[in-house]
Amino acid sequence: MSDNDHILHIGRISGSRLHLQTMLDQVVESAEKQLGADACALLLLDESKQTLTLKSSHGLWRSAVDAVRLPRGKGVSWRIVREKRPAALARAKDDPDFHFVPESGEESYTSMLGVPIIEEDECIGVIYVQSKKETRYSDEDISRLEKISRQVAGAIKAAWDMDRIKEKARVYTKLNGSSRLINATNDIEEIVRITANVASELIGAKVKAVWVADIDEKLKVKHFSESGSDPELLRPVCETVVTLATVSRETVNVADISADTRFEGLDIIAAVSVVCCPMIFEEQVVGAIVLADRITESPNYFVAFTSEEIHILAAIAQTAAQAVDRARTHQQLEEALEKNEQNVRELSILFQLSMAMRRTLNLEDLLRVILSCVTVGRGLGFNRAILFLVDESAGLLRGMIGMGPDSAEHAGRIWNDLEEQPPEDLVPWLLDHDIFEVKNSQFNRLARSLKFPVAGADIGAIISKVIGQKVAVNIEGAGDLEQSDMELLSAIGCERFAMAPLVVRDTALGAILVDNLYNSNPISGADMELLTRFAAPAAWAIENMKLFEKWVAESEERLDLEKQMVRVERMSTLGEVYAELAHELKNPLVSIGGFARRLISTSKSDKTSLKYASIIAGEVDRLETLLRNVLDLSKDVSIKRQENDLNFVVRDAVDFYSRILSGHGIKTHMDLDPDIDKVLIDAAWIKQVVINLILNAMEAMSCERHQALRNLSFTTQSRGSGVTLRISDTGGGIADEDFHKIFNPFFTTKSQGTGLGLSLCKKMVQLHHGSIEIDNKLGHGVTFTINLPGAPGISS
Amino acid sequence: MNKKRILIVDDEENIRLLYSEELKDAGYEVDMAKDAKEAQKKIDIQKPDLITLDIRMPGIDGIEFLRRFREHDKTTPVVLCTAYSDYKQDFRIWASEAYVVKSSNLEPLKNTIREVLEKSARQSEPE
Repeated sequence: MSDNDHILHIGRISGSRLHLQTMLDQVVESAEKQLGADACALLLLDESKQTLTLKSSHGLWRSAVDAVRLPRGKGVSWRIVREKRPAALARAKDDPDFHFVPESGEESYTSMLGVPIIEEDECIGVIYVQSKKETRYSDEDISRLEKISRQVAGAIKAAWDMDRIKEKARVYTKLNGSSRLINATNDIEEIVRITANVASELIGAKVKAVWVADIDEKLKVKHFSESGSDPELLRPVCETVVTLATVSRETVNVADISADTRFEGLDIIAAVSVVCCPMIFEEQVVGAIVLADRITESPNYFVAFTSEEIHILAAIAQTAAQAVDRARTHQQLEEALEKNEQNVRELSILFQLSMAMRRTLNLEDLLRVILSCVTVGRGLGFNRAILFLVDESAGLLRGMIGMGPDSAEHAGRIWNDLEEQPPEDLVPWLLDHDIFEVKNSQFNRLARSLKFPVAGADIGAIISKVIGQKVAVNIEGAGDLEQSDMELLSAIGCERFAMAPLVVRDTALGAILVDNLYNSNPISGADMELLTRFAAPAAWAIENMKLFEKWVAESEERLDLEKQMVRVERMSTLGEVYAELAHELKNPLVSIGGFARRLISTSKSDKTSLKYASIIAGEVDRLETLLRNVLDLSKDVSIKRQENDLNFVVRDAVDFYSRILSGHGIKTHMDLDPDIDKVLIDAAWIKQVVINLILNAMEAMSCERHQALRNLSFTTQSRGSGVTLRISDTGGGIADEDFHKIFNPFFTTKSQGTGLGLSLCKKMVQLHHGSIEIDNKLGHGVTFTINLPGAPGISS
Repeated sequence: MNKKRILIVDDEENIRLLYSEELKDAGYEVDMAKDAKEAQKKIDIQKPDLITLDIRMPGIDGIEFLRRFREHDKTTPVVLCTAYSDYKQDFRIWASEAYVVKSSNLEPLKNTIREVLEKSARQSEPE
């Protein structure tokens, strides 16, 4: 085979897509033959450029391949590499640089010719041939081997390129896969774990670490793994490089920290390589990846991370940065959702409160539900709460209800019970469950005993602020309190509390006081916000409930009245019968009275008979008036006012009843002003008024309780422009619940009677432009005061 | 001067007696009827100078009797008597000369009768 044939052969070999090793083996064999040598070897520099490794040989021991490693040094091979020049040694052992490599089996060779393998001006290895018999290599031999070397250099380069492309493909496949993995999760921990894994799979390093910025934007180590005896040895190095990279916002690659002043003082003796890529997303540093102590093929030498590796790491950092940002956005979204859920929960509390308001039928229940909402964990979650309402008439802020455990032990028991059976529908549950056993609670008793002035000099600063200015206050300690608040403080016994006004239509109708006595949780701004927000609808609920209760009370009264009306209706049906009866009564009365009068006017009989006849006539008169009154009540009554002496009218009425009164054991006292002014009155009507009042008093004093004291006194006197009549009894007074109804038509406490008496009295007095007043002394008696106006021209 | 003749129409016997005694004492001639039917008979026999008429009566009541009576007698004065003032608003009673609420005190009735008769006498003077 000619040289050209050989060279062509080698060119074919190296151009073929054979595996690099096969190619090298063929080249070595071919070169040996071409040069007529006994052996041929090829050594390549490894990536650290510190070692020459035997990659292929022909004629040397097979075991030497990859085992023979020549550290940078004085040997002939290294000289060739250094000088990039051939070395032709007829007697190799005469060369001072030459020494046998014992494991290669080369001691049997005498001569050697070596040439550098140069690729792009850089020596990447050495190829040499050896001969047993001493050989002087000609220039032609040298040039032939150099040609082979150039060919093989191209082939190695091509193979390396191929390897590199394959490696890149592997890396990008890996990166792509990991990027998909990273993007599949929103868990930052998971992102960190995948990032560290992919980095260590693609780039060999003993230390892999990932830092991620927290919400406060401070970087914190999320992953750190170091192989070696001391798993934390290089941590300070990583920390330093992370600082450098995140400050500069660029990748920091340090080949050997021991030669870098930025790492001084870290007490690292060994040469260590380190690289750090900041994770930057939209100009924000969200983290950093660190690799340190690169793993090399030649354990004795350290190698810096290659630019290729740095690119890969940068790509990983980029992907991780995006993922972290996305995860964080997601986290924020979730927090927002949670916040939203919080809002929904608040709304739900408010909604349920309004539902509860509809379900509760009394203020007490409502207040209990409100405070339950304030205290249970699923509500506002305060430990204790007191609800105050303003008592306007007394000018006081009164504690209405207190809710909270009586002791820490009680608190624990209640909250444990709640954990065991968490209510689905909070408010209805609260309505049915008195969780704090309010009725028996000491705290409630304490709360209900509290009262503070809401006006005047004694008002406390806090109460003034809450009720007067309608501002919520958060007392974070005794320092926030003034002397005037000490009473409040000593009452509740907790220095940290909050108080929010219950405001309706710009008026504070009360306040809610809360504290966290048992778990000592500080009351946050958010708590205050929630409390104030809750107070608004609670206040309206209370206001509505108050109106509702008032309405109910009025309705009850109306209902009462309705009952009366039903009775009246029944009576009016009866009334027709009565009217009929009254007509029938009228005629006999006319006859009785008429004939009695005839007796008086015609009879010559004795005085006694005349007196009896007058009594008959008088009584018939009264009966006729009574009949007329009953039938006239609903009609417009006309009165005929004439100048009259009130004393006379009163005496007339009392005389009628003097025997009946004394028969009931009632003593009458008359204190009539002898100089009383004359008044313009319808004497018959006013007499009827007096009679009605006498009948009422008699009825009141006839029950057994008032056996001992039965006094009925009549007082008249002139009063400025009119006269006054007072009628006082000792009948025990009128019960409170009946008192305001006594002037209602048809209201009566009597088992019999129409209830017309007092209303008729009132109507009559009003027709006289007078007034009637009652002084009711429960347990003693009633005094009716009738004021009748004087008439111009007749007053003295 | 002839005594004026008064016809008392009332279903109540005692009232008729009371009225007749009082009015006789007051100087009138008195005739009595217990219902509208009897009253009409008495009127047909001898026309009275004045009629006192109870409103509430069994059969034809006072108001109806008055309406029928006025159809052929526009002048004879009629004093309506009733137990209560219920009828004051009833325009049909306007056909009567006066309206008196019954009472055991007969002075108002006697005064009214006197006034009505005096008035009636004045009106018939020119004839």
